[in-house]
Amino acid sequence: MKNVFTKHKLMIGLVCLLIGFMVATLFNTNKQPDSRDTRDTWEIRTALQEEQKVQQNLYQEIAEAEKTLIEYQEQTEHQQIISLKESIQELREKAGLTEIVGKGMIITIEPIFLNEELQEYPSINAELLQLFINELNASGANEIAIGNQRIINISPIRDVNGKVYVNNSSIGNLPTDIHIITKDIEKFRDYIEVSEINDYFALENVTISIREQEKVVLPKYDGAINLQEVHVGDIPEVGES
Amino acid sequence: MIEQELADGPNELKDLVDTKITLQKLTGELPISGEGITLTLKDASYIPSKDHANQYIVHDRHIHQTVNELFSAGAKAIAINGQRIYRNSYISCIGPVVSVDGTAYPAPFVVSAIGDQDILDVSLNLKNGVIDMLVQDNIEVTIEKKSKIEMHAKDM
Repeated sequence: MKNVFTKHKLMIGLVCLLIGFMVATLFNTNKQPDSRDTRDTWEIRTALQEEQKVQQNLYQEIAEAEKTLIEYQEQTEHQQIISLKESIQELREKAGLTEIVGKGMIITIEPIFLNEELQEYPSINAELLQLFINELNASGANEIAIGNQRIINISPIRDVNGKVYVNNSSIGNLPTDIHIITKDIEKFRDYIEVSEINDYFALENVTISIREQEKVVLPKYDGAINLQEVHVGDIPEVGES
Repeated sequence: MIEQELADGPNELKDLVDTKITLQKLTGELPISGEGITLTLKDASYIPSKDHANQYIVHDRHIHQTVNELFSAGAKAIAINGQRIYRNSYISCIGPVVSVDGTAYPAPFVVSAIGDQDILDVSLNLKNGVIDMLVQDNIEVTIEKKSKIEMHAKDM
């Protein structure tokens, strides 16, 4: 009898102990002070400003998206098709899939003959042409075509059997015309005239001549565009905030 | 995306939307992702003291050649250290860094290309191809096949 009584007491004791622990833990978690904010006013203000900028950008994006949404919803199917076609046309122009006419210049890469009897017919290689295109881009060319090959986002320039291939077709022997459309012709000309590229051309016995033109016609890219395996990513556009 | 919803509608609309998305992928108006390979070009770690260090570092022409080789092998999009390059991009060597469209990147340079992994890999590894040339110029090259390469959209 006495034995049972102590067991009973022991149980109550244990339960009380458990409850005590739980209460203690509860108090402890509730009373935990928040981590102290040690930033000074200036830092908080900067942080606030940054957040506000982000907020503003987000509002702007929402507004733009809503505008497009409303436009889409308001339009009938026929209008939708028309506006889609318009934006496709714009994109094709941007991508270089249309013929384009503009102010610019024609640069001719031509051989120079120093000693006609001994000299081989000069030629250029892909490396030099890559470098030249790079120089043209650095000096602000907007659109470029080499021979009748328009340069687009995925245009390769490569040596194949001693010939230079652009867009996977040969540009033939020199002289070669490069058609360029640019906004700032003066700046462009100055940049090219002092560029190191002239020395590299001279090493290969070729020279460039620049002719400014009011009207330069650039052919369209006529290869196939296949981007089946490329998916639209889900990464958000990086905004400067 | 609302365009996707519209695409579920009539056929003509769907074709147009598909065309638009393809063009946006090409011009960089949309972020893109896909399988492909990445190349890491590193300056040589060992430079014999009698030689000039210039012979052992990555130059812009190395990157030009790599990029053009990848495009001729059918790469759909290429980025250098995460920055996608377009037809009017320029890459130049400024001292120890390489600048892409005015943004400077230090070595190592990571060229990532979206496209068919096997074709890209084979064309880079051709005898006397790009890899051979880079190795000859004392550059440490690593190729890695990636199942997903992501590229950001162009900043407008």
